[in-house]
Order: sequence, then structure tokens, then C-alpha cells
Amino acid sequence: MGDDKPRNAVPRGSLDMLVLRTLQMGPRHGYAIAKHIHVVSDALIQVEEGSLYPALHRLERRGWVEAEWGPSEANRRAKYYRLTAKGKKQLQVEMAAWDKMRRAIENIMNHRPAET
Amino acid sequence: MAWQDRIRRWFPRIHRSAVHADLGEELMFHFRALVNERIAEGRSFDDAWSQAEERFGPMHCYMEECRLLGNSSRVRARRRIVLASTLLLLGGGAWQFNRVITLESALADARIAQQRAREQRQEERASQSPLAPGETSPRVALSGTIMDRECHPVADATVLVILKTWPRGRYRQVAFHCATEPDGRFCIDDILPSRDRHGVLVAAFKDGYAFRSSYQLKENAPADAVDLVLDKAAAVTLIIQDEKGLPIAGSRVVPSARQSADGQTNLVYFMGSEPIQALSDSAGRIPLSCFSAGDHAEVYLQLPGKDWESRRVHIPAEGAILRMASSPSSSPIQNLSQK
Repeated sequence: MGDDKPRNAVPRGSLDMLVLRTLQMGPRHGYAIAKHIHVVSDALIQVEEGSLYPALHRLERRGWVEAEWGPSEANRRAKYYRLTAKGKKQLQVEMAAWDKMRRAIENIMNHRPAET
Repeated sequence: MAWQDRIRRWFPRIHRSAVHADLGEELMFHFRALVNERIAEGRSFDDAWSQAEERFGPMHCYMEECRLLGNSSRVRARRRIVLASTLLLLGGGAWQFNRVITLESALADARIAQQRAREQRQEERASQSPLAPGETSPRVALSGTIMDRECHPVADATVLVILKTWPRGRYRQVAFHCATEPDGRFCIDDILPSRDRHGVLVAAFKDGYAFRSSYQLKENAPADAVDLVLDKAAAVTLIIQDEKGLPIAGSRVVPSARQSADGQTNLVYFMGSEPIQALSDSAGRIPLSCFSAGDHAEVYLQLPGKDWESRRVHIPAEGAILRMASSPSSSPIQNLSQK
């Protein structure tokens, strides 16, 4: 079933932005972050756990997110990540850069050579 | 908490510090969610665990990444030492070279290791042997005896075995079970590595006796024979009810831990526990006679159509009836009555 579908990795360089954007909607633990990205992308993007947790710890070290332990939905202990003010600013920077890249790619794909 | 104990046993190398324990617990939460996801899709627990293992990959690799990210100051200090050593060597000093490990190369190494581990697991799945490729020592039997306090053999007791190995640095866990013979002996052939590092958890169950377990961790020799002595149990009845007090039939319960009054802890892993699962009847009742009076016990409970969850209960005297609500946050487990 799900394991037979090809898993699409997160576009290179965008994992931090996707995590920050997910956390902008509220604190989440690692599993919930991966699940949110997978569901909202219509299952097109699958975050590898091997990339997600180093990314979360990297973001925490940079002060863009902060973490604290709390009870999960099933009353188990989970580590929740939350976006900091610094993280919100960084998210804006990342989104601007992504938008710039997106427009550049669109320009290339929509380019039509001038007819002579 | 049973899951914290599992983490410590599952990651013996990482429980050196509180930081590693926290990271292990965080990853274990995610791993467990993946297992539950697959169980909800209709897979068996063992299949769900294997698939989650394959999806999750070798945790120790990206735990190492996280550790490196968290220890950036140590990395800088190591780089200064390496630079000084190199300068001295160039200057004609007798210093030893250290390989400079950059964060980028550590990440690349971890990804390569993860890919190799995935390929390794695909080979392992073709084999049903309890030992993974990489474990070459001959296999030997696990044996033992189950007796009661009067030194009488306990026949037809269910013996649950969890075998833990670490082939090529990865963790692997396999479950077995058997029944004791009329003389109380049990034997499972060809499962224990005779030389490779392994851990063995053995738990013995028989109605009317408080279950007991033992754990061994061995490095260069097979596990010893396991002899367990069982005490009489206090027969209690669990009644599974919803918030309105109506019984819930078809709930499953698995004993998972008991701490006796003398402080000894006995454990059962969820993996491989199917032989001792009990089902509630139409009145929501599940007879339990595997704990002693005074035990601090833990059970896994699965309500129909719901996820497994852990519940703690204190075992009172013989004959007690304990109500277990469907929601753990509603009312605590109540001792309704005693005979």
C-alpha cells in the first residue's frame, strides 16, 4: 500500500522553511510535523525522519525554534517545537528566497524564443 | 514507565547521558507513532514494527548527527587540536594524525550508512532466521525451568522470550514463545548467538501465578539457563467501562510490568505478547491472575477500534474488582469491591 508508492524527498534546501512554516501554525512534535507536511502536500512530499530530527535540532541551536516536553494526544510524553520571534523573521527570509527562486524557474519554463 | 525502560534497553549506548536519553525518547515517540499508524491500517504488530524500523532507519546515525549539532563547541575544540597536531608534525614533532571530521562529511557518512542499512534490511527480510547477516557465531538453545515456591514444577507455563542483537551496530529484536513441559523445563533450539553480543528477556506466565521475568546481557558467551520461581497470584477482575459506566466488550489487555513489594521489577515486551492477551467479555470483565497482592502493575489496554495504551494499576488483595475507564484522564482505576 503506502510503502509501494515512491516517496518524494523534500526539495533540496527547503526543509527548514517547511518546518518553520508548519510550526507557524502552532507547536507540534516531530511526528506531527512530518505528518502535516505529508498530508498538506497531498502525499507528494515525505519528510525522512533521518533529515527531520537533525533539522529540528539545527533550528533549535540557531534559536529559530524552541522545544519543551509535554503530554501528547495519547497522554504520552512528547517534545513539542515552537516557532520563536527570530524564527518568524527567518521564515519570512526563507519564503522570500523561495518565492524568488520560484519566479526565476517560472520565467525559464515560460520563456518563448522571439520569432524572427 | 515501561516505554522509558524499553528505550533504555533498546538504546543501551545512548543512555549515557540525559541528553541522549531525551533524544532517544523523542525518537521513540515518533517510532511508536509510526508503528501505531501501521497497526491502524490493519497490519500485525510485528509487521508494523518491521516496517516502521525500515522507514525510520538506523537511529544511531542521525542521533549522532544531532549529537554533533549539539556539541559544536566540542567540534571547534577538536579542530584546534587537529590543527596544532598537524603543525607540530610538519615541524618534525612525533604527533599522531586525527582525521578532521566536518559536519558535512558526518552527514554524508550518516546518509550512506542509512542507505546501506536499508539494503541490509532487505536482505534480512529474505531470511527468517533469528540472527541477522553479520552474526556468524553458531546458534545454541535457550533453556530453563519454571518452579513454584514449593519447588514443584510449573507445567504448561507460557514462556515469552525477547532476543536482542546488535548486528553491525544496528539493533534487532525478535520474539519467541514456548510452553513448559510437565517437569517445568522449557527449551528453544538454535536461537542464541554463542559469541555475538545479545540480550535475552524471558518472562513466564501461568494462571494463578504472578509472572516473573529475567534479563541477561551477554558479550562473548550464550545466555545462561533461566530458572524462575513463581509465587501465587492474587486473582482480581478488571472491568472495562466507558465514562457512563457501561461495560466495553472486546477490549484487550496485556500485562506489561509488575513491581513487587520487595522492589523487583518484572517486564513483558508488547512484541510477541499475543499468547497472553486477554479479551473482555460482554460484561467488560477480564480475570487477571498474574499479579501479586501489593504489586504496582502496568498493563496495555486496547479498546475496540482504538490504539494500545499503557495503564497503571495497584493490585489490592485477592478477589478485588477493579474498574478501568475508557479514558485515562477521566477517573482513576477504582477498586469497586472485595469479596
